[in-house]
Amino acid sequence: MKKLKEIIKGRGVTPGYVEGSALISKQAFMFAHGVDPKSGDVTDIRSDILDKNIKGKVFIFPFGKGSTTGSAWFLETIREGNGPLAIINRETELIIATAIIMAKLLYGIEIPLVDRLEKDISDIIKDGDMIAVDGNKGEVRIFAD
Amino acid sequence: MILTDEEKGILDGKNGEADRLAMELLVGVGESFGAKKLISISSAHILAHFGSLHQAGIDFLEKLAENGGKCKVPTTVDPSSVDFERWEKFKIPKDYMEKQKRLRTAVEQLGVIPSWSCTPYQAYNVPRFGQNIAWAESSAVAYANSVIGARTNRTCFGLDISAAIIGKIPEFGLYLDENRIGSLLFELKIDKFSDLDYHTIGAIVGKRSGAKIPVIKGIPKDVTNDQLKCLGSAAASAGAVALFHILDVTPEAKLKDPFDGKKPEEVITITQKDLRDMENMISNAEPNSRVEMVTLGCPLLSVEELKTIFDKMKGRKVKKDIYFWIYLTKETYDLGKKLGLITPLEKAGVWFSTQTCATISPVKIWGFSHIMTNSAKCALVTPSEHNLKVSYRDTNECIVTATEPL
Repeated sequence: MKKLKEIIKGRGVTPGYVEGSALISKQAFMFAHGVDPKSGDVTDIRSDILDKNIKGKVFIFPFGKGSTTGSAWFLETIREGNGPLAIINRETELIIATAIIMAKLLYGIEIPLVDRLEKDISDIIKDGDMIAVDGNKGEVRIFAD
Repeated sequence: MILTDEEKGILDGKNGEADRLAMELLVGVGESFGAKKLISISSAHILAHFGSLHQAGIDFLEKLAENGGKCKVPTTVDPSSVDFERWEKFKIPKDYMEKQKRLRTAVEQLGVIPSWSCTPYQAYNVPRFGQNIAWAESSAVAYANSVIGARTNRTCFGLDISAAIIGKIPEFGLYLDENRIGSLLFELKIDKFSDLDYHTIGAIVGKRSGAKIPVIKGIPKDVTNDQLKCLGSAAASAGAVALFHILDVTPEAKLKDPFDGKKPEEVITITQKDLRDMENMISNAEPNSRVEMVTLGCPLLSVEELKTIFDKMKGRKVKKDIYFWIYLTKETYDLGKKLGLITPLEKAGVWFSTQTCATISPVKIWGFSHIMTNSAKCALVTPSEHNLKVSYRDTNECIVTATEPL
Protein backbone atom coordinates (compact mmCIF):
# COMPACT_ATOMS: atom_id res chain seq x y z
CA MET A 1 0.00 0.00 0.00
CA LYS A 2 1.28 3.46 -0.89
CA LYS A 3 1.34 5.83 2.00
CA LEU A 4 0.70 9.50 1.30
CA LYS A 5 3.50 11.69 2.62
CA GLU A 6 2.63 15.13 1.34
CA ILE A 7 0.23 17.04 -0.92
CA ILE A 8 1.65 20.08 -2.71
CA LYS A 9 -0.80 22.56 -4.16
CA GLY A 10 -0.36 24.31 -7.46
CA ARG A 11 -2.35 25.16 -10.56
CA GLY A 12 -3.86 22.58 -12.88
CA VAL A 13 -3.25 23.68 -16.48
CA THR A 14 -4.53 20.55 -18.23
CA PRO A 15 -6.74 17.84 -16.66
CA GLY A 16 -6.10 14.20 -15.82
CA TYR A 17 -4.76 12.09 -12.91
CA VAL A 18 -1.71 9.84 -13.14
CA GLU A 19 0.81 8.14 -10.88
CA GLY A 20 4.33 7.55 -12.10
CA SER A 21 8.02 7.75 -11.57
CA ALA A 22 9.70 11.18 -11.55
CA LEU A 23 12.35 12.48 -13.95
CA ILE A 24 13.81 15.82 -12.94
CA SER A 25 15.69 18.46 -14.92
CA LYS A 26 16.70 21.65 -13.15
CA GLN A 27 17.12 23.52 -16.43
CA ALA A 28 14.71 25.06 -18.93
CA PHE A 29 13.89 22.26 -21.35
CA MET A 30 13.92 22.33 -25.14
CA PHE A 31 11.87 19.86 -27.20
CA ALA A 32 13.01 21.14 -30.62
CA HIS A 33 16.19 19.16 -31.35
CA GLY A 34 16.22 18.31 -27.65
CA VAL A 35 14.27 15.04 -27.70
CA ASP A 36 14.26 12.21 -30.22
CA PRO A 37 10.54 11.64 -30.86
CA LYS A 38 11.24 8.08 -32.01
CA SER A 39 12.58 7.02 -28.61
CA GLY A 40 11.87 9.75 -26.05
CA ASP A 41 15.64 10.05 -25.43
CA VAL A 42 16.91 13.49 -24.44
CA THR A 43 19.41 14.56 -27.13
CA ASP A 44 20.12 18.19 -26.18
CA ILE A 45 23.86 18.14 -25.48
CA ARG A 46 23.49 21.03 -23.01
CA SER A 47 20.77 19.35 -20.94
CA ASP A 48 21.42 18.03 -17.43
CA ILE A 49 19.36 14.94 -18.33
CA LEU A 50 21.13 14.16 -21.62
CA ASP A 51 20.54 10.50 -22.66
CA LYS A 52 17.76 9.96 -20.11
CA ASN A 53 14.33 9.03 -21.44
CA ILE A 54 11.09 10.92 -20.81
CA LYS A 55 8.71 8.15 -21.90
CA GLY A 56 6.11 7.32 -19.27
CA LYS A 57 7.72 9.57 -16.68
CA VAL A 58 6.34 12.35 -14.54
CA PHE A 59 8.59 14.90 -16.16
CA ILE A 60 9.59 17.81 -13.95
CA PHE A 61 11.41 20.87 -15.33
CA PRO A 62 11.12 24.59 -14.56
CA PHE A 63 10.25 26.10 -17.96
CA GLY A 64 10.09 25.29 -21.65
CA LYS A 65 12.43 27.03 -24.08
CA GLY A 66 13.64 27.02 -27.68
CA SER A 67 12.23 27.24 -31.20
CA THR A 68 8.53 27.76 -31.90
CA THR A 69 8.62 24.35 -33.63
CA GLY A 70 8.98 22.80 -30.16
CA SER A 71 5.25 22.10 -29.93
CA ALA A 72 5.52 19.92 -33.07
CA TRP A 73 8.53 18.00 -31.68
CA PHE A 74 6.69 17.41 -28.41
CA LEU A 75 3.46 16.42 -30.20
CA GLU A 76 5.37 13.98 -32.39
CA THR A 77 6.99 12.45 -29.31
CA ILE A 78 3.51 11.93 -27.83
CA ARG A 79 2.18 10.54 -31.15
CA GLU A 80 5.00 8.00 -31.22
CA GLY A 81 3.97 6.84 -27.75
CA ASN A 82 7.12 8.23 -26.17
CA GLY A 83 5.63 11.19 -24.32
CA PRO A 84 5.72 11.71 -20.56
CA LEU A 85 2.85 10.64 -18.32
CA ALA A 86 2.54 14.11 -16.81
CA ILE A 87 4.44 17.38 -16.61
CA ILE A 88 5.22 19.62 -13.68
CA ASN A 89 6.61 23.08 -14.46
CA ARG A 90 7.50 26.01 -12.25
CA GLU A 91 5.74 28.22 -14.81
CA THR A 92 4.50 26.59 -17.96
CA GLU A 93 5.32 27.93 -21.38
CA LEU A 94 3.41 28.29 -24.64
CA ILE A 95 5.16 25.41 -26.46
CA ILE A 96 4.42 22.93 -23.67
CA ALA A 97 0.78 23.89 -23.12
CA THR A 98 0.02 24.03 -26.86
CA ALA A 99 1.44 20.55 -27.53
CA ILE A 100 -0.49 18.98 -24.65
CA ILE A 101 -3.79 20.57 -25.71
CA MET A 102 -3.16 19.43 -29.31
CA ALA A 103 -2.40 15.86 -28.18
CA LYS A 104 -5.87 15.70 -26.63
CA LEU A 105 -7.57 17.22 -29.69
CA LEU A 106 -5.71 15.16 -32.26
CA TYR A 107 -4.92 11.83 -30.59
CA GLY A 108 -7.18 11.78 -27.53
CA ILE A 109 -4.12 11.48 -25.28
CA GLU A 110 -4.39 13.30 -21.97
CA ILE A 111 -1.27 14.58 -20.21
CA PRO A 112 -1.94 16.40 -16.96
CA LEU A 113 0.14 19.55 -16.57
CA VAL A 114 0.52 21.27 -13.21
CA ASP A 115 2.54 24.40 -12.50
CA ARG A 116 3.10 27.08 -9.83
CA LEU A 117 3.51 24.58 -6.98
CA GLU A 118 3.74 26.24 -3.57
CA LYS A 119 7.22 24.75 -3.11
CA ASP A 120 10.03 23.58 -5.39
CA ILE A 121 9.32 19.88 -5.82
CA SER A 122 12.69 19.22 -7.47
CA ASP A 123 14.32 19.78 -4.06
CA ILE A 124 12.00 17.35 -2.27
CA ILE A 125 12.04 14.29 -4.52
CA LYS A 126 14.57 12.51 -6.70
CA ASP A 127 14.55 10.65 -10.02
CA GLY A 128 12.54 7.44 -9.80
CA ASP A 129 10.34 8.49 -6.86
CA MET A 130 6.67 7.63 -7.35
CA ILE A 131 4.39 10.66 -7.35
CA ALA A 132 0.84 11.46 -8.42
CA VAL A 133 -0.13 14.43 -10.56
CA ASP A 134 -3.70 15.68 -10.43
CA GLY A 135 -4.35 18.18 -13.20
CA ASN A 136 -8.00 18.49 -12.22
CA LYS A 137 -7.27 19.67 -8.68
CA GLY A 138 -3.93 21.24 -9.52
CA GLU A 139 -1.92 19.26 -6.98
CA VAL A 140 0.91 16.80 -6.65
CA ARG A 141 1.02 13.92 -4.13
CA ILE A 142 4.25 12.51 -2.82
CA PHE A 143 4.24 9.01 -1.32
CA ALA A 144 6.35 7.61 1.50
CA ASP A 145 8.84 4.90 0.46
CA MET B 1 -11.85 33.65 -20.48
CA ILE B 2 -14.94 35.56 -21.61
CA LEU B 3 -16.11 34.51 -25.08
CA THR B 4 -18.58 36.28 -27.37
CA ASP B 5 -21.69 34.41 -28.56
CA GLU B 6 -20.06 33.99 -31.96
CA GLU B 7 -16.93 32.46 -30.40
CA LYS B 8 -19.05 30.12 -28.27
CA GLY B 9 -20.88 29.07 -31.42
CA ILE B 10 -17.59 28.19 -33.13
CA LEU B 11 -16.62 26.16 -30.07
CA ASP B 12 -19.94 24.29 -30.43
CA GLY B 13 -19.07 23.45 -34.03
CA LYS B 14 -21.37 25.93 -35.83
CA ASN B 15 -18.62 26.80 -38.35
CA GLY B 16 -17.52 23.21 -38.85
CA GLU B 17 -14.89 20.91 -37.42
CA ALA B 18 -11.75 22.81 -38.49
CA ASP B 19 -12.91 26.02 -36.83
CA ARG B 20 -13.98 24.08 -33.73
CA LEU B 21 -10.55 22.47 -33.36
CA ALA B 22 -8.77 25.77 -33.91
CA MET B 23 -11.04 27.53 -31.41
CA GLU B 24 -10.53 24.80 -28.79
CA LEU B 25 -6.79 25.28 -29.03
CA LEU B 26 -7.05 29.09 -28.81
CA VAL B 27 -9.33 28.89 -25.77
CA GLY B 28 -7.24 26.18 -24.08
CA VAL B 29 -4.07 28.20 -24.51
CA GLY B 30 -5.82 31.43 -23.50
CA GLU B 31 -6.99 29.87 -20.25
CA SER B 32 -3.53 28.44 -19.52
CA PHE B 33 -2.04 31.92 -19.76
CA GLY B 34 -4.75 33.93 -18.01
CA ALA B 35 -6.01 35.70 -21.14
CA LYS B 36 -9.29 37.52 -20.54
CA LYS B 37 -10.44 37.43 -24.15
CA LEU B 38 -9.58 36.75 -27.78
CA ILE B 39 -8.45 39.70 -29.89
CA SER B 40 -8.56 40.10 -33.66
CA ILE B 41 -5.35 39.76 -35.63
CA SER B 42 -4.52 41.35 -38.99
CA SER B 43 -2.17 38.60 -40.21
CA ALA B 44 -0.55 35.28 -39.39
CA HIS B 45 2.72 33.56 -40.28
CA ILE B 46 2.88 29.79 -39.83
CA LEU B 47 5.37 26.90 -39.80
CA ALA B 48 5.15 24.00 -42.27
CA HIS B 49 8.62 22.47 -42.68
CA PHE B 50 8.66 18.72 -42.34
CA GLY B 51 12.08 18.60 -40.64
CA SER B 52 10.56 20.00 -37.46
CA LEU B 53 6.86 19.26 -37.86
CA HIS B 54 7.21 15.50 -38.36
CA GLN B 55 4.15 13.31 -38.94
CA ALA B 56 2.27 15.02 -36.09
CA GLY B 57 2.49 18.32 -37.96
CA ILE B 58 1.15 16.71 -41.12
CA ASP B 59 -1.69 15.16 -39.08
CA PHE B 60 -2.76 18.52 -37.67
CA LEU B 61 -2.54 20.58 -40.87
CA GLU B 62 -4.25 17.85 -42.94
CA LYS B 63 -7.02 17.50 -40.38
CA LEU B 64 -7.73 21.23 -40.57
CA ALA B 65 -7.52 21.25 -44.37
CA GLU B 66 -9.71 18.15 -44.84
CA ASN B 67 -12.34 19.65 -42.58
CA GLY B 68 -12.59 22.78 -44.69
CA GLY B 69 -10.40 25.13 -42.65
CA LYS B 70 -9.55 28.43 -44.38
CA CYS B 71 -7.33 31.27 -43.21
CA LYS B 72 -9.42 34.30 -42.27
CA VAL B 73 -6.50 36.73 -42.37
CA PRO B 74 -3.52 37.06 -44.74
CA THR B 75 -1.20 34.22 -43.75
CA THR B 76 2.29 33.45 -45.03
CA VAL B 77 4.40 30.36 -44.43
CA ASP B 78 7.98 29.86 -43.24
CA PRO B 79 10.56 28.13 -45.46
CA SER B 80 10.07 24.51 -46.43
CA SER B 81 12.54 21.76 -45.51
CA VAL B 82 13.31 21.26 -49.20
CA ASP B 83 13.73 23.30 -52.35
CA PHE B 84 10.63 22.28 -54.33
CA GLU B 85 12.47 22.71 -57.65
CA ARG B 86 16.03 21.60 -56.90
CA TRP B 87 15.40 18.87 -54.34
CA GLU B 88 17.09 16.15 -56.37
CA LYS B 89 20.23 18.25 -56.83
CA PHE B 90 20.31 18.67 -53.05
CA LYS B 91 20.01 14.86 -52.58
CA ILE B 92 16.68 15.00 -50.75
CA PRO B 93 15.29 11.45 -50.36
CA LYS B 94 12.04 10.90 -52.23
CA ASP B 95 10.00 9.89 -49.17
CA TYR B 96 11.17 13.01 -47.32
CA MET B 97 10.10 15.11 -50.31
CA GLU B 98 6.68 13.40 -50.32
CA LYS B 99 6.13 14.38 -46.68
CA GLN B 100 6.99 18.00 -47.43
CA LYS B 101 4.63 17.90 -50.43
CA ARG B 102 1.78 16.79 -48.17
CA LEU B 103 2.44 19.80 -46.00
CA ARG B 104 2.48 22.03 -49.09
CA THR B 105 -0.85 20.63 -50.27
CA ALA B 106 -2.40 21.17 -46.83
CA VAL B 107 -1.25 24.78 -46.46
CA GLU B 108 -2.39 25.61 -49.98
CA GLN B 109 -5.83 24.10 -49.23
CA LEU B 110 -5.96 26.21 -46.09
CA GLY B 111 -5.46 29.33 -48.21
CA VAL B 112 -1.98 30.17 -46.95
CA ILE B 113 0.08 32.43 -49.26
CA PRO B 114 2.83 29.99 -50.36
CA SER B 115 5.67 32.42 -49.68
CA TRP B 116 7.98 29.82 -48.01
CA SER B 117 9.98 32.67 -46.52
CA CYS B 118 11.28 33.58 -43.06
CA THR B 119 11.15 37.27 -44.01
CA PRO B 120 7.42 37.82 -44.68
CA TYR B 121 7.80 41.46 -43.62
CA GLN B 122 9.90 42.09 -46.76
CA ALA B 123 7.08 40.93 -49.06
CA TYR B 124 3.46 39.77 -48.94
CA ASN B 125 2.83 40.21 -45.24
CA VAL B 126 3.78 43.64 -43.94
CA PRO B 127 2.08 44.63 -40.67
CA ARG B 128 1.55 48.21 -39.55
CA PHE B 129 2.64 49.76 -36.26
CA GLY B 130 0.46 48.64 -33.36
CA GLN B 131 -1.39 45.88 -35.22
CA ASN B 132 -1.95 42.58 -33.45
CA ILE B 133 -0.62 39.64 -35.47
CA ALA B 134 0.07 35.96 -34.71
CA TRP B 135 3.43 34.99 -36.13
CA ALA B 136 5.67 32.00 -35.68
CA GLU B 137 9.37 32.03 -36.76
CA SER B 138 11.41 33.62 -34.02
CA SER B 139 13.39 35.96 -36.31
CA ALA B 140 10.23 37.31 -37.96
CA VAL B 141 8.61 37.74 -34.54
CA ALA B 142 11.60 39.79 -33.38
CA TYR B 143 11.46 41.97 -36.50
CA ALA B 144 7.69 42.54 -36.46
CA ASN B 145 7.60 43.43 -32.76
CA SER B 146 10.75 45.51 -32.68
CA VAL B 147 11.36 47.16 -36.04
CA ILE B 148 7.70 47.59 -37.05
CA GLY B 149 6.05 47.82 -33.64
CA ALA B 150 3.37 45.27 -34.47
CA ARG B 151 2.47 42.87 -31.65
CA THR B 152 2.93 39.12 -31.45
CA ASN B 153 4.13 36.47 -29.04
CA ARG B 154 6.46 33.73 -30.24
CA THR B 155 3.46 31.87 -31.62
CA CYS B 156 4.30 28.18 -31.75
CA PHE B 157 3.28 25.46 -34.19
CA GLY B 158 -0.42 24.63 -33.93
CA LEU B 159 -1.40 27.89 -32.35
CA ASP B 160 -0.18 29.71 -35.50
CA ILE B 161 -2.56 28.06 -37.97
CA SER B 162 -5.40 28.04 -35.43
CA ALA B 163 -5.09 31.81 -35.05
CA ALA B 164 -5.02 32.17 -38.85
CA ILE B 165 -8.22 30.16 -39.25
CA ILE B 166 -10.16 32.00 -36.55
CA GLY B 167 -8.50 35.39 -37.19
CA LYS B 168 -8.00 35.79 -33.44
CA ILE B 169 -5.51 35.05 -30.66
CA PRO B 170 -5.77 35.03 -26.85
CA GLU B 171 -4.66 38.35 -25.42
CA PHE B 172 -1.60 37.81 -23.22
CA GLY B 173 2.14 38.47 -23.21
CA LEU B 174 3.36 40.95 -25.80
CA TYR B 175 -0.16 41.97 -26.89
CA LEU B 176 -0.35 43.96 -23.64
CA ASP B 177 1.40 47.34 -23.17
CA GLU B 178 2.75 46.45 -19.74
CA ASN B 179 4.69 43.47 -21.11
CA ARG B 180 6.55 45.50 -23.75
CA ILE B 181 8.66 47.55 -21.34
CA GLY B 182 12.43 47.12 -21.51
CA SER B 183 14.36 45.73 -18.55
CA LEU B 184 18.02 45.50 -19.64
CA LEU B 185 20.12 48.28 -21.20
CA PHE B 186 22.92 47.37 -23.59
CA GLU B 187 25.32 50.22 -24.31
CA LEU B 188 27.44 49.73 -27.43
CA LYS B 189 30.99 51.12 -27.34
CA ILE B 190 31.71 50.40 -30.98
CA ASP B 191 32.94 52.92 -33.58
CA LYS B 192 32.46 51.13 -36.85
CA PHE B 193 29.94 48.39 -37.56
CA SER B 194 30.46 45.59 -40.06
CA ASP B 195 27.54 43.48 -41.29
CA LEU B 196 28.76 40.59 -39.15
CA ASP B 197 28.73 42.84 -36.09
CA TYR B 198 24.93 43.12 -36.25
CA HIS B 199 24.63 39.33 -36.01
CA THR B 200 27.18 39.26 -33.19
CA ILE B 201 25.52 42.08 -31.24
CA GLY B 202 22.24 40.16 -31.58
CA ALA B 203 23.89 37.00 -30.26
CA ILE B 204 25.32 38.82 -27.21
CA VAL B 205 22.02 40.56 -26.50
CA GLY B 206 20.12 37.26 -26.89
CA LYS B 207 22.46 35.29 -24.62
CA ARG B 208 22.35 37.92 -21.87
CA SER B 209 18.62 38.67 -22.12
CA GLY B 210 17.03 35.22 -22.23
CA ALA B 211 13.34 36.11 -22.42
CA LYS B 212 13.76 39.62 -20.97
CA ILE B 213 13.28 42.69 -23.14
CA PRO B 214 16.56 44.38 -24.10
CA VAL B 215 17.03 48.04 -24.96
CA ILE B 216 20.07 48.83 -27.12
CA LYS B 217 21.86 52.17 -27.21
CA GLY B 218 24.45 53.11 -29.81
CA ILE B 219 23.19 51.60 -33.07
CA PRO B 220 23.67 54.13 -35.92
CA LYS B 221 20.46 55.80 -37.07
CA ASP B 222 21.14 54.80 -40.67
CA VAL B 223 21.15 51.08 -39.84
CA THR B 224 19.45 49.16 -42.68
CA ASN B 225 16.40 46.91 -42.42
CA ASP B 226 18.60 43.98 -43.42
CA GLN B 227 21.03 44.69 -40.58
CA LEU B 228 18.13 44.83 -38.11
CA LYS B 229 16.79 41.59 -39.58
CA CYS B 230 20.15 39.92 -38.84
CA LEU B 231 20.42 41.40 -35.35
CA GLY B 232 16.93 40.17 -34.47
CA SER B 233 17.45 36.68 -35.89
CA ALA B 234 20.60 36.24 -33.78
CA ALA B 235 18.97 37.62 -30.62
CA ALA B 236 15.95 35.36 -31.10
CA SER B 237 18.01 32.20 -31.52
CA ALA B 238 20.75 32.91 -28.96
CA GLY B 239 18.08 33.71 -26.36
CA ALA B 240 14.32 33.91 -26.52
CA VAL B 241 14.16 37.59 -27.49
CA ALA B 242 10.79 38.37 -29.08
CA LEU B 243 11.06 42.16 -28.75
CA PHE B 244 13.99 44.56 -28.53
CA HIS B 245 14.05 48.33 -28.49
CA ILE B 246 16.83 50.44 -30.05
CA LEU B 247 17.08 54.03 -28.89
CA ASP B 248 16.50 56.53 -31.74
CA VAL B 249 15.79 53.68 -34.18
CA THR B 250 12.81 51.43 -33.36
CA PRO B 251 9.34 53.02 -33.20
CA GLU B 252 8.28 52.30 -29.62
CA ALA B 253 11.61 53.65 -28.33
CA LYS B 254 11.14 56.79 -30.42
CA LEU B 255 7.63 57.45 -29.11
CA LYS B 256 8.30 56.97 -25.41
CA ASP B 257 10.79 55.88 -22.78
CA PRO B 258 11.22 52.13 -23.38
CA PHE B 259 11.84 51.68 -19.63
CA ASP B 260 8.58 53.49 -18.81
CA GLY B 261 10.32 55.84 -16.38
CA LYS B 262 11.97 53.02 -14.42
CA LYS B 263 15.67 52.28 -14.15
CA PRO B 264 17.05 49.39 -16.19
CA GLU B 265 17.57 46.25 -14.10
CA GLU B 266 21.11 46.08 -15.40
CA VAL B 267 23.35 48.09 -17.74
CA ILE B 268 25.60 45.95 -19.95
CA THR B 269 28.39 47.43 -22.06
CA ILE B 270 29.36 45.81 -25.35
CA THR B 271 32.84 46.59 -26.67
CA GLN B 272 34.75 45.61 -29.80
CA LYS B 273 36.46 42.94 -27.68
CA ASP B 274 33.10 41.47 -26.62
CA LEU B 275 32.22 41.13 -30.31
CA ARG B 276 35.45 39.23 -31.06
CA ASP B 277 34.92 36.99 -27.99
CA MET B 278 31.38 36.15 -29.09
CA GLU B 279 32.55 35.44 -32.67
CA ASN B 280 35.04 32.93 -31.26
CA MET B 281 32.39 31.41 -29.04
CA ILE B 282 29.95 30.94 -31.94
CA SER B 283 32.58 29.21 -34.09
CA ASN B 284 33.22 25.69 -32.82
CA ALA B 285 35.45 24.34 -35.61
CA GLU B 286 39.20 23.79 -35.46
CA PRO B 287 40.66 26.91 -37.13
CA ASN B 288 42.70 24.99 -39.71
CA SER B 289 40.31 22.19 -40.59
CA ARG B 290 39.03 22.18 -44.16
CA VAL B 291 35.67 23.86 -44.88
CA GLU B 292 33.45 21.67 -47.06
CA MET B 293 30.51 24.00 -47.58
CA VAL B 294 29.97 27.74 -47.30
CA THR B 295 26.43 29.03 -46.93
CA LEU B 296 24.90 32.52 -47.03
CA GLY B 297 21.27 33.55 -46.65
CA CYS B 298 20.11 33.06 -43.06
CA PRO B 299 17.72 34.87 -42.78
CA LEU B 300 16.94 34.58 -46.51
CA LEU B 301 18.70 37.24 -48.60
CA SER B 302 17.10 40.45 -49.79
CA VAL B 303 17.87 41.84 -53.25
CA GLU B 304 20.25 44.38 -51.66
CA GLU B 305 22.21 41.65 -49.90
CA LEU B 306 22.34 39.68 -53.15
CA LYS B 307 23.81 42.75 -54.90
CA THR B 308 26.55 43.00 -52.26
CA ILE B 309 27.50 39.33 -52.75
CA PHE B 310 27.47 39.80 -56.53
CA ASP B 311 29.92 42.72 -56.28
CA LYS B 312 32.27 40.80 -53.99
CA MET B 313 32.18 37.79 -56.36
CA LYS B 314 33.38 39.75 -59.43
CA GLY B 315 36.33 37.97 -61.07
CA ARG B 316 36.00 34.88 -58.87
CA LYS B 317 34.71 31.31 -59.18
CA VAL B 318 33.84 28.58 -56.68
CA LYS B 319 36.74 26.24 -55.85
CA LYS B 320 36.48 22.65 -57.07
CA ASP B 321 36.54 20.99 -53.66
CA ILE B 322 33.94 23.14 -51.91
CA TYR B 323 30.20 23.81 -52.11
CA PHE B 324 28.88 27.37 -52.03
CA TRP B 325 25.14 27.49 -51.28
CA ILE B 326 23.10 30.71 -51.18
CA TYR B 327 19.49 30.78 -49.94
CA LEU B 328 16.80 33.29 -50.87
CA THR B 329 13.09 33.48 -51.64
CA LYS B 330 11.86 32.44 -55.07
CA GLU B 331 10.73 36.02 -55.67
CA THR B 332 14.14 37.48 -54.74
CA TYR B 333 15.76 34.92 -57.04
CA ASP B 334 13.50 36.01 -59.93
CA LEU B 335 14.16 39.70 -59.28
CA GLY B 336 17.88 39.01 -59.03
CA LYS B 337 17.73 37.23 -62.36
CA LYS B 338 16.13 40.29 -63.98
CA LEU B 339 18.94 42.40 -62.55
CA GLY B 340 21.55 40.04 -64.03
CA LEU B 341 22.82 38.97 -60.60
CA ILE B 342 21.96 35.28 -60.73
CA THR B 343 23.19 33.76 -63.99
CA PRO B 344 26.84 34.95 -63.70
CA LEU B 345 27.02 33.57 -60.15
CA GLU B 346 25.52 30.25 -61.20
CA LYS B 347 28.10 30.07 -64.00
CA ALA B 348 30.78 30.75 -61.38
CA GLY B 349 29.64 27.65 -59.50
CA VAL B 350 27.27 29.04 -56.87
CA TRP B 351 24.27 26.85 -56.02
CA PHE B 352 21.23 28.99 -55.34
CA SER B 353 18.33 27.46 -53.48
CA THR B 354 14.89 28.93 -52.92
CA GLN B 355 12.04 28.44 -50.41
CA THR B 356 14.28 26.64 -47.92
CA CYS B 357 17.54 27.22 -46.03
CA ALA B 358 20.57 25.37 -44.67
CA THR B 359 19.26 25.56 -41.11
CA ILE B 360 16.04 23.61 -41.67
CA SER B 361 16.76 21.37 -44.67
CA PRO B 362 18.30 17.92 -44.14
CA VAL B 363 21.89 19.02 -44.84
CA LYS B 364 22.95 16.13 -42.59
CA ILE B 365 22.52 13.87 -45.66
CA TRP B 366 25.70 15.37 -47.13
CA GLY B 367 27.80 14.29 -44.17
CA PHE B 368 29.69 17.58 -43.92
CA SER B 369 31.89 17.88 -40.87
CA HIS B 370 32.73 21.59 -41.22
CA ILE B 371 30.73 24.43 -42.78
CA MET B 372 31.14 28.21 -42.80
CA THR B 373 28.42 30.87 -42.57
CA ASN B 374 28.05 34.61 -42.01
CA SER B 375 24.90 34.05 -39.93
CA ALA B 376 24.93 33.76 -36.15
CA LYS B 377 21.55 31.99 -36.20
CA CYS B 378 22.72 29.42 -38.74
CA ALA B 379 25.96 28.92 -36.79
CA LEU B 380 24.11 28.49 -33.49
CA VAL B 381 21.46 26.09 -34.79
CA THR B 382 23.18 23.86 -37.37
CA PRO B 383 25.77 22.08 -35.16
CA SER B 384 23.06 20.25 -33.18
CA GLU B 385 20.70 20.01 -36.16
CA HIS B 386 23.23 18.51 -38.57
CA ASN B 387 25.92 17.21 -36.23
CA LEU B 388 28.77 19.29 -37.68
CA LYS B 389 31.24 22.06 -36.81
CA VAL B 390 30.78 25.66 -37.89
CA SER B 391 33.03 28.60 -38.63
CA TYR B 392 31.30 31.95 -38.24
CA ARG B 393 32.94 34.60 -40.47
CA ASP B 394 32.00 37.79 -42.35
CA THR B 395 30.74 37.73 -45.94
CA ASN B 396 34.19 38.59 -47.34
CA GLU B 397 35.89 35.68 -45.63
CA CYS B 398 33.05 33.33 -46.61
CA ILE B 399 33.54 34.32 -50.26
CA VAL B 400 37.34 34.10 -50.11
CA THR B 401 37.06 30.65 -48.53
CA ALA B 402 34.62 29.34 -51.13
CA THR B 403 36.13 30.91 -54.26
CA GLU B 404 39.35 31.70 -56.14
CA PRO B 405 40.25 34.23 -58.85
CA LEU B 406 39.12 33.28 -62.37
